[in-house]
Formats: sequence, structure tokens, C-alpha cells
Amino acid sequence: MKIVFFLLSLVILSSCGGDIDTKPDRADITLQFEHVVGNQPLNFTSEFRTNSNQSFTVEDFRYYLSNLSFENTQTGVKYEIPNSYHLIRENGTGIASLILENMPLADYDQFNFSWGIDAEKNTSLDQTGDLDPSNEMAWNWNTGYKFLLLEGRLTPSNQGLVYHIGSNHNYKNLQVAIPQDAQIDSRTQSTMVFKVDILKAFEGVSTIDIAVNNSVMGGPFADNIAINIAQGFFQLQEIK
Amino acid sequence: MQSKFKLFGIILLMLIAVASCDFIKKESEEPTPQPTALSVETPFYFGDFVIPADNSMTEEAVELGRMLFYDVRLSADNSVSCATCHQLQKGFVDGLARSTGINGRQTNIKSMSLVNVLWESRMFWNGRVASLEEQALHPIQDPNEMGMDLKELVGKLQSIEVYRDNFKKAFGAETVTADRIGKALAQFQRTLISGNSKYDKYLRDEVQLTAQEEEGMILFFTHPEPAISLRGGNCGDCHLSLTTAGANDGFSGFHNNGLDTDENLKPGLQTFTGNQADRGKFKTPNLRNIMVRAPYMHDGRFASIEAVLDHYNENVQLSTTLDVLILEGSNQPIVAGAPIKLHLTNSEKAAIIAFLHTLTDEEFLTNSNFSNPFK
Repeated sequence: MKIVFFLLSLVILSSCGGDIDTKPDRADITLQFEHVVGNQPLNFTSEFRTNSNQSFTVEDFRYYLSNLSFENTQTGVKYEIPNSYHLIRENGTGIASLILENMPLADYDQFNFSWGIDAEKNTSLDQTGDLDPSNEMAWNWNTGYKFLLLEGRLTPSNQGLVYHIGSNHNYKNLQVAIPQDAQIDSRTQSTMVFKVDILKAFEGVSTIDIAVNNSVMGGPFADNIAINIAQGFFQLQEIK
Repeated sequence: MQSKFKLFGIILLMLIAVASCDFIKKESEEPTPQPTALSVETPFYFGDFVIPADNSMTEEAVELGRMLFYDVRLSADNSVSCATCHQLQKGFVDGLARSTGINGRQTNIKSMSLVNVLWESRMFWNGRVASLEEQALHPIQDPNEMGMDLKELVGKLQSIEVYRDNFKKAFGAETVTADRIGKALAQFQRTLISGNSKYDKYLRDEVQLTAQEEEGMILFFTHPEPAISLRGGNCGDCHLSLTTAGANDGFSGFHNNGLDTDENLKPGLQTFTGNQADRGKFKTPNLRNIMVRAPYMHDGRFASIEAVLDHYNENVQLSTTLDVLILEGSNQPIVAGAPIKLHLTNSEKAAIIAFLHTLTDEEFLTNSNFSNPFK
């Protein structure tokens, strides 16, 4: 009798299954970064042009994002990814991805992230993973990380193009709105597509002439570029 | 239905057969004690490393690797071992611009140091190999180095009793294979960790550097920025801080350091990648024990560290793939088209050399765990 009851309840449960609103508890959320120079996808072979018509090539491009969180600004529900330090690195294809695995879902309306490394982490180099100081982003033996590295050459002069940017005071909290219709809480996989336009580092608040300032590694001038980056560098395009 | 039963019967028979094979095998061999797992102790600031899952470290395999490393029987004429070109007291190089292989033949490139290879992901000056296991088999077969046919080597070692015993201890079976030779040699090399130089002790707050050494260290790791009067030796852009090694992600640790103009540039990494942009890029070596590792550069062209400093300071040759951080590294404002010069003073050069001396790790260079087990 017990068995029959058990079987019966199984039947009931499984038949109910289809009707229940099955929103997943967790999802993998991919952050996809489309690296571009103006309208062109970034690669390590093409010649690109700034808005002032200076041509250049890129050999290396990487930057840190950190302290990622998802939030509902109305209810205050917030999920902060623990130990969240991510080196985003161009590999020559124009697209870099970061998969945030198993994120707890809720009715989020905002994604928070920071450009750079917070001061607390930035004072110590005994780190591993994306903060391993042997990844070429450490400034030197005791002064933290470059928040952004862009290296290439001006053409046709073959001068170097070297931008190493990032000091504690350049660390920047950024937010993007997650639209309701993105339905991020009802899928087990979502992708947030960001456009990252290198030209935006050279314009915005300050216009940078890369022919004049082809090498910027710290110092006050680096702040001009950092401010540009904090303004319009990371643009959310779509959530799919 | 009947055929299903037949199939079941066949599977059952096969299972029995397999089980009995196993049984017979166990009967005929002595029970093998499990090799002793070995965990490598590393300075925390050297960062992440990977040991392949199919070659986890054991004391027995490391000891076997050490024997193989020092055994001249690995060469065709029994004259050369790995240690001929990789000598412990010289920081695992041989003091020569070109190494000497079998029958007195000269190799066409300088031997590389094996110091802290645990943290390396691409092997050889041109980066052609991605694992120590594979790397180890290259010099054995190179006609100018050890000139040995792998099949022949396997047979040769199989006939030597102590190797049969040691392969069994390390890998659970007496059978010598090329794969196991590579694995054992790789394991031994992963133990060659140099982390007790004066600089290491300084990093761990155990000692102080002298004022000159500290000045040298700061210069070493600083990219000069004349716009803000920041003086630098520009070394740490490639020889990264704490490890003093090149970057180990992909080919990031390969650089054209301005030895030659385009006409004379050797292909280097381009040999492997086929990419024109990689022409003249060579692997940036780890600098632990650099002062005992002369001559310098992939072709050993500089006999002294002073010559190396002079090169970076005033003799860099311009080429299309010259590293941009060298191209854009100077203590005076850079004039486009002018010769590339760092503009270090003599006392700054001397300070950098004083710092390089702090990278010598005497405990490493005399470590009896790394020395010839046949002596």
C-alpha cells in the first residue's frame, strides 16, 4: 500500500512539474568584452587610426576588473562575488570572455564592477591567480598593479606606444543597469556583452594625442587617460 | 532474448578472462610498494605553478630523474650527460657560448639555465615545447647534443639492472619507456628551486640589502620616466619582479632585446610560431644565480655582466620587432629616430650589478640533492 502511495505521489509530483514556474536558482553569467578601435575589432596585425588620424598597431592589451556584484537597487538584495579580481586579456581575436559560474539569481537591476584593484589588495603582491605578480601587471616589487596595459607601435614611425595606467586614486567603481526584459533571473545562462573601445581612452574628458604622448607610465598625465577610461570605456551593449 | 543472453554470456566470459589475466600478472610480479608522494616547497611570492596530473611528484621518480640527468650513458658515445651542459655550480649552464655535445660537436645555441623551471610554461630559447616532459627528450636526440636514438636508449637502460629497479620504484614497473624517461627527468628538474639568495631573504624580511644593492634593486625594477624624473634600469619590464623571470603566460616572456638589426636578427620564436612579429624574440631567462652563468644572451655573445649592462644602456640595435618597452625606455626624453640609449650613470650600472649579485643562491649551487648521484 505504501508503495502504491509512493508511486502515486511521484506521478502527481511529476505531472505538476510542468506547471510550476521553474526559475533557476543559479546561472552561469558570461561577461563578453568586444575589444574594438572605433568600428574595427581589435587584433594584433591591423593598423588602426585615432580620431586625429594617427595610425598605430596594438601588441598587447589587458586590464583589471574587480569586485563584481549583482544588485537589486530597490530591494537591496545584492550578491558580491568573493575574491573578485579578473585580468581581462586580449588574445588577438578581439573578444575576451569571463565566465561567472554558478551565480545565485535574483531580480537584479544593476551590475557593479570596478576598474582596477582596490587599495587594500593593491598594496600586496603575495597573490595568486589573476593577481599573480608574474603576469606583467605588477608595477614593481611593492607598488601594486597596473590597471590597464596597452602596448603597440605608432606607424609608420615605429615609435613605441606604451600606456601603463593605474594608481590607487584611479580605482573606479562602475555600474550598468540590467534591464527588466533581459530576464537574467529566468535563464541558466546569460551573456552580458560589453564594448570596450580603445579610442575612448584617448577622448572624453581629455583628448590625448598619442603621437605626442606615446609613452605614459604613471605620473600626472596618466590621470587624464584614467579619467577617460572611467568615463566611457566599458559600454554594455546587450544581455543575451 | 536468446541473443541478449548470449551477449551477456560473452561479456561475463571476457570479464572472467580479464580478471584472471590480472590475477596471473599479480602472481608473477613482486608486490610493488607505492612511490612516496613528494610535495615541493616553494617561496610563496614565486606564484602559481602547474605540475601535470599524469606526472605527480614522487621521491622515487625524482631520484630516478637525477640519475638519468647525470648518466653519460644517455648519449650515443657515452661521453655526455644532461649535466655536461647543465652544471649545478654554474647555475645549470656550462660557462660556454656554444655547448659541447657528443664527439666534440658544438651545439648552435647556448645552454639554458634550469633554475626555477617549475614556473616555466614554454621551453627552449625559441619556445618550441610546452612541457618539461617533452623538452627532456629533445637534447637526448639532438645529433649535436647527445645524439641518441630513443628506441636504442630504452633498450640500453632496460638492460641495466639499477634502472630496471629504479623504474619499478618510480613507476611501478621495470619497463623503461621514453615517456617515463621524460617524466623522471622533468620531475628532477622541477625540484631545482632557487629561493635562498640574499634577495629572497630580503623579500622574506630576513636580511637587509646594502644601500647600493637596494638602489640597484629599485633601478632594476623601474621603467624610467623622464617626464616625472623617475630613473630606472628598465630590467624588470621583462625580468618580472620577485621571480626575475620572464612572464610565463603563453609567449609573453619572449622578447627582442635589441641584439641585432633586422638584417642580422635570428628568427627565435618565429621559428615556432611562423609569425613575422615574433622575429628575433627569445625567451627571457630567470636571473637567479645570473652572476655564475656567464657568458650571456642566447648566443653567449657577452662574456661579462658589464657587457650586458653596456648593451642595454647604449648598444641596443633598432629593429622592427624590438620590444616597445626597450624602444620607449630611457632616462632622458626620447627623440624619435635617435639611437636608443638608457642613459644610466656608471654608479647606477654598478648598483644594478650589486643587486644582481644578491641573486646568487649559494645554498642552491651547493645543494647535495641536486648533485651527481654517481659520485
